[in-house]
Amino acid sequence: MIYSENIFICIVVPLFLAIYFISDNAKSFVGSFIVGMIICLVSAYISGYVEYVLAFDHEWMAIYITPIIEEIMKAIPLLMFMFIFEPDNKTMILIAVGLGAGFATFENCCYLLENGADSFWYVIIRGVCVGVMHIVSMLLLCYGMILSKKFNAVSVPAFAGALSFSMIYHSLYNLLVSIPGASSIIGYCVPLATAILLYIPYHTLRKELT
Amino acid sequence: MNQVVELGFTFFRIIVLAFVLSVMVFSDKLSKSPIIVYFTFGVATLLGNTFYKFVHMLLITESPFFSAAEISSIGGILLFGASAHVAFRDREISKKKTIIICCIAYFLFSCAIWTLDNRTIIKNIFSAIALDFLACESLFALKCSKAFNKKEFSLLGVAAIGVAVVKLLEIIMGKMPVVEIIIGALSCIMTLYFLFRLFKDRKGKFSILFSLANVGGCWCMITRYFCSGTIRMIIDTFGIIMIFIMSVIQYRGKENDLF
Repeated sequence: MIYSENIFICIVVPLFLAIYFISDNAKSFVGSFIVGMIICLVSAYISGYVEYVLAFDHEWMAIYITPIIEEIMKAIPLLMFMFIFEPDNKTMILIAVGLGAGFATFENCCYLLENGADSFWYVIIRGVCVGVMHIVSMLLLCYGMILSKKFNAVSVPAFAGALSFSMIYHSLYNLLVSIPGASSIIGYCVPLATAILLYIPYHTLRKELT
Repeated sequence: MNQVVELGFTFFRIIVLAFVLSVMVFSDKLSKSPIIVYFTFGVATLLGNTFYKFVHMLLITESPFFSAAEISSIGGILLFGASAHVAFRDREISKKKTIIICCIAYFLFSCAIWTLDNRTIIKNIFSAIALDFLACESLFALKCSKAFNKKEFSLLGVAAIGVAVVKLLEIIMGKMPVVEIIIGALSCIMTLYFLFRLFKDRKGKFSILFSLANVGGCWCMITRYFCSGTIRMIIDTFGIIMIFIMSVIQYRGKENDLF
């Protein structure tokens, strides 16, 4: 057992202080990074509660239910930010990446403290695969929202579509890595491959913005 | 192995339909319409769903009660429903294109319903909502076209509500073949009356086709206990598409200038 709240306080306090000494974009990024960590903590509470209620074993939870909870939780702050502050596309991407990175960082910290960091391959897998996967799933959702804004289609179906796509991506990754062998190797390659693929629309979008 | 073939076939038809639609959409004003977003998301979601189910089948034999696949199916249902709805209401899109979009959207809509897990109650609820949604759209179209008088229109409304109530009761109480057969038979008789009246008044071939499609739908309700899943899916899809084509034509008026 680890005390995730204590770890959270330890990581968040310096970041929180840093917000006062940095400028606009950096401030937004660090702020969303902290929110991403809070979301990770709350998602863990909800997942734990659902696991207890449904009496699922841990692996089944990770494959079937956890991706749904985590993606919904990550989508809520992005959606709130989008509707309250009505940001431009560039800021939306910045916030989405910050949320994903914060979520992944806190999750990695907790996993490494629980299972140890003595295995180099395990650390690499957690960093390169899981970390990237959370950022990519957030980017998928963010691109979906940007696209729906561009075509005046900001609505419940558009949001549900973007969210379900990011959920199915997360679930697919969890499913692939849950079985050892060739499938887990493919699973580990998925986040990096999609990140490379996503760079193309990002590049196009950035050109359009500037 | 059968499941693999079925999933492969689903994957293939989604790709083909997406291709047909994209060719049509990109060559028109539609490229600036929300329909393109709904369709892109919908197709991506359904492809993700099919791929997830395929991987799941290869790796784990036991199927889950609820997973992200179910959520993505619901997402697909919402998206295709929304795209058909937008196409239906947007008067800037030509009649022919509206019909093609609605046909593909409702075909994929029924595909999305069928990708839901059989054990989930959500499947039943969504099938019921889908049918009610279509019934409402059709009724709205008929009201606009003024093909029926107030009394007849109320009877049609009662029939649609009756079907919805039966569906809801089925969800709550389980399958009720006898009740469904009686309701189906009554709907058939009522639709045949409208058919007779339309023939008599010569309101146009599309109204007749609409009624025939409605009879098909009622017949489907009666025979659902005797048909296999695939046949029912084909009949359902055909019925839905027919009803929608008729609705669009009725809604837009000028029945005979289409073909």
